Amino acid sequence: MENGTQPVVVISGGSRGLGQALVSDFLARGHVVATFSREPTPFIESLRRDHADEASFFWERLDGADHECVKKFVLAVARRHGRIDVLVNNAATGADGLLTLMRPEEIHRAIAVNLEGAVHLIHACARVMLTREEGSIVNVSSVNALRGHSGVSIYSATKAALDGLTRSLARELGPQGIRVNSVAPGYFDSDMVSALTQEQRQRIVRRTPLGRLATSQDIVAVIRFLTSAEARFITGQTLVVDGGLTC
Amino acid sequence: MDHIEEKVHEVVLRVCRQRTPAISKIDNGQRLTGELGLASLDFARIIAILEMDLGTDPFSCQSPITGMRTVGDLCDAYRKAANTTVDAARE
Repeated sequence: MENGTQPVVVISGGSRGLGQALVSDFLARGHVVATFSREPTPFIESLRRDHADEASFFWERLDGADHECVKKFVLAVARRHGRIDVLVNNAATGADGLLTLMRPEEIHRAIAVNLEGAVHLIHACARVMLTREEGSIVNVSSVNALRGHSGVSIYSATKAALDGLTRSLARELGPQGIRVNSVAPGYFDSDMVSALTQEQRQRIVRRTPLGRLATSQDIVAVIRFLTSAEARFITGQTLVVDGGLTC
Repeated sequence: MDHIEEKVHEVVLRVCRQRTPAISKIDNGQRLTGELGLASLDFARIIAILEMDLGTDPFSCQSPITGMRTVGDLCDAYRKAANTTVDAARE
């Protein structure tokens, strides 16, 4: 087991979108980054070529809903680096559609990835954090956890559950030096928003006091803060990053 | 004392000392909650450290953690888990 001095970050779903932006940001700041996704993307392939020794970047092909594989992944990271300092629970799948029209397997898949996958990843990473009595966990929630919107009931439910998990875990793990927070992004340029029509996007912008959609970097900056020493006295909170849409 | 017992004693002592610095020695007869005063978060930490060091967690599928009364019980659980792992590797 190596016990390096570089902070080690686990990011679920780091192959694209917000996950990709997070991987790039943490790597640029000298962290060791371990991430997984179901498929590699050109971004992941490029990083794997640049970090062939896997010393500071490690990717594995796995499904976040596969709890055994997730546990093995985390143990492999911990054994290699001797620590996990930060976990960002980012992986999620959209589950759009009216509940009454959704197939049971679609409902199950969304809960398995967005909620159960996050729970099991925390279960594995928090154990490693416990050994050093320090760590920071950020769950990527959503404004859909705070406000009702037609057509995203299951997605909303999984994200609201993550916020509940955040608060209880903050109490459970706080005494052991582990902080747990949520970030609830509003609409930002991502695959999930790309499905919106131009009219829907404009309506969101009109209703947003700061007058635009968020960018990935707006969200990354808040996660960077929450996982830094600057946020050392913040735990159990959900930080909404939506330009004021829900205020 | 085998290496599993040695490791369990070392980790239990390390965690106990944070709560009670005066504790200097661990033996198999000591009661985990009463005598050593370990709380549930201490158990969580002990299990996490031992999983990293010994590569196994007997409480994920075998014996329940609530059945552990003494340090010796803990050693037995890890020995049993290690034997199960060896047997599984042979099959």
